[in-house]
Amino acid sequence: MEELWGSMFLRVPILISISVGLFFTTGCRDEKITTYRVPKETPPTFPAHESMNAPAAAGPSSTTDTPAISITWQAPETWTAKPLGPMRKGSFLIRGDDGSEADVSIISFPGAAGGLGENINRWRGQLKLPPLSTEQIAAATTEFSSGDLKFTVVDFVGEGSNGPTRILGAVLPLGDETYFFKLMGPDALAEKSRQTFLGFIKTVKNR
Amino acid sequence: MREIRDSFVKFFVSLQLTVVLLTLSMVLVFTATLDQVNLGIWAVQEKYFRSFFVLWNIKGFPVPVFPGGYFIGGLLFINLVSAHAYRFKLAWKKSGIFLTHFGLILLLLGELFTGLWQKEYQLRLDQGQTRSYSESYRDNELAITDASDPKWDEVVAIPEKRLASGEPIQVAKLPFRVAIRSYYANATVQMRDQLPNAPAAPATRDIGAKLVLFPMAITYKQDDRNLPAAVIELFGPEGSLGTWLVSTMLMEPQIFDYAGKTWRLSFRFARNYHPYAITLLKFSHDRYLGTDIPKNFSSKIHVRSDDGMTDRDVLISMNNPLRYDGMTFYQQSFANNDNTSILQVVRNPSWLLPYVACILMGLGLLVQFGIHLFGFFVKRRTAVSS
Repeated sequence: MEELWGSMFLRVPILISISVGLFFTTGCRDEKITTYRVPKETPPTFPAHESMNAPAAAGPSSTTDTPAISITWQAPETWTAKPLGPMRKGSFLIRGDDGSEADVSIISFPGAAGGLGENINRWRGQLKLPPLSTEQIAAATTEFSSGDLKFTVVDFVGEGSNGPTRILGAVLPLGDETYFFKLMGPDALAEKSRQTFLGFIKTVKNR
Repeated sequence: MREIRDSFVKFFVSLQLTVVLLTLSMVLVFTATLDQVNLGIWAVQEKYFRSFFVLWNIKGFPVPVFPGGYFIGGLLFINLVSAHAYRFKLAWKKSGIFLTHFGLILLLLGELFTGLWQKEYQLRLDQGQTRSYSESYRDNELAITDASDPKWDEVVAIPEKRLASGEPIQVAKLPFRVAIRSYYANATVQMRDQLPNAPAAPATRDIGAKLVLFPMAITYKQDDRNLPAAVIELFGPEGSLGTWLVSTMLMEPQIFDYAGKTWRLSFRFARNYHPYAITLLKFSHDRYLGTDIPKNFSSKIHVRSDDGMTDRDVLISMNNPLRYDGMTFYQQSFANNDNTSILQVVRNPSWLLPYVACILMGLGLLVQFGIHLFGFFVKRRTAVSS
């Protein structure tokens, strides 16, 4: 051992300089800006009846696919999938026989997202309805269970830009997130789509 | 001078160095295994093994506190090679030891090359969709695209690390300079009008003016992904063009016109373009009859190279990957009610080295023990006959 460490005095400066060199050369990997030219990509079209997120069944391995979403669903065949907006986890269009259209959206927020009452009153605000107190909200909502998931369901009719408008909504607190399922459209079409919407909510499953 | 050289040689060929390095590597593996609870497997690999030094952040400065995998492995490699070179004597009796050590050297080199060259990507295809690029699992990039040409996109891809550094970015292909106003390694965004008492919008242009940004703790979970975001400001010769919020949560690119061209901004998984296009023809998820138990997953794809040399259908299934153009495509996962197939795309030029190394080491041990066994038999026979 003496021999080994004996002339350390001579080696130390050289070893240190090699180490410092290595330290700095490895620090700058994968930071290059690249420029390239590619053929234009055509945006993919979404088939109507699929959920936009990850597998419900066991796969060959776990996936990092849309980790922000922890649920799956099965949308009815009659709904048309729309491209997802910046906030939406799911987005569908319902067309009535008379040409009227209703919108179905699925969004999620971390935590309680301001609380159930705030969000239900936000929906009421979109229908130009006055806000409700906590007791009134408890009376105006119904609880609905599907498997181990508990939804709070609301049904409000108010005024929209094109006459009487209805919101059918379901709120699902799940882990660190709250999911909001909302069907909004002309009163007649929304009323007609009520059972389909509730059926859709029943297909929501924890991943 | 000779003294320095001799001391170097003695240092590098010594068995003491081997013992010290093996002890250090044991400590490294033990510590890294414990730290995996906090960091997850990817970050641990990068921090402890694919680095020359394990760094601790002390008051914002990275301070090396322990030799990393590359340092210990590199010295072990030098130690092994120089010891062999120094003490080398060609003898049949030692052929097994040579083979075993040569295998060990190859194994060390294999790990080094894998660490340096291996790239892993993901290729996500809906049935009928064609793509000529795969996406990184963990690396993100800010793509600024000149979308003016009806057929082509001119892309400037800025790695996330450059945004994290906070330094302004100037690229010859862009008529503006990019200043990083803020960067978040993991953040979520929400619509302002959907939140009561929402704080001010982080940006002035496009969707950023309607959003609220909430920074979140960095996740190290293996299956989870950080969703980085940044607020950037673009400057032309005449001054600021405004600020944009770019986030990996935003699916749609943000579009604006400047200098007679249409530009698209999107923060996305880093892309790796291939000189060929892959189309998913069909994804099959076979189950055992009458049950939901998965039996097989396979993707029938079509590969068409830009030069027209390849134009064929391929079936990728579990344990039957496609090896093409230096890449290996494995069936990894699926999504979207069996309509989307997810392929793992791996580029590892040194994938054969560990196999060769293990064969050599096995062979070396067999030869060495064989020689001893043979010597033992000969000795016993001589003893019996005498």
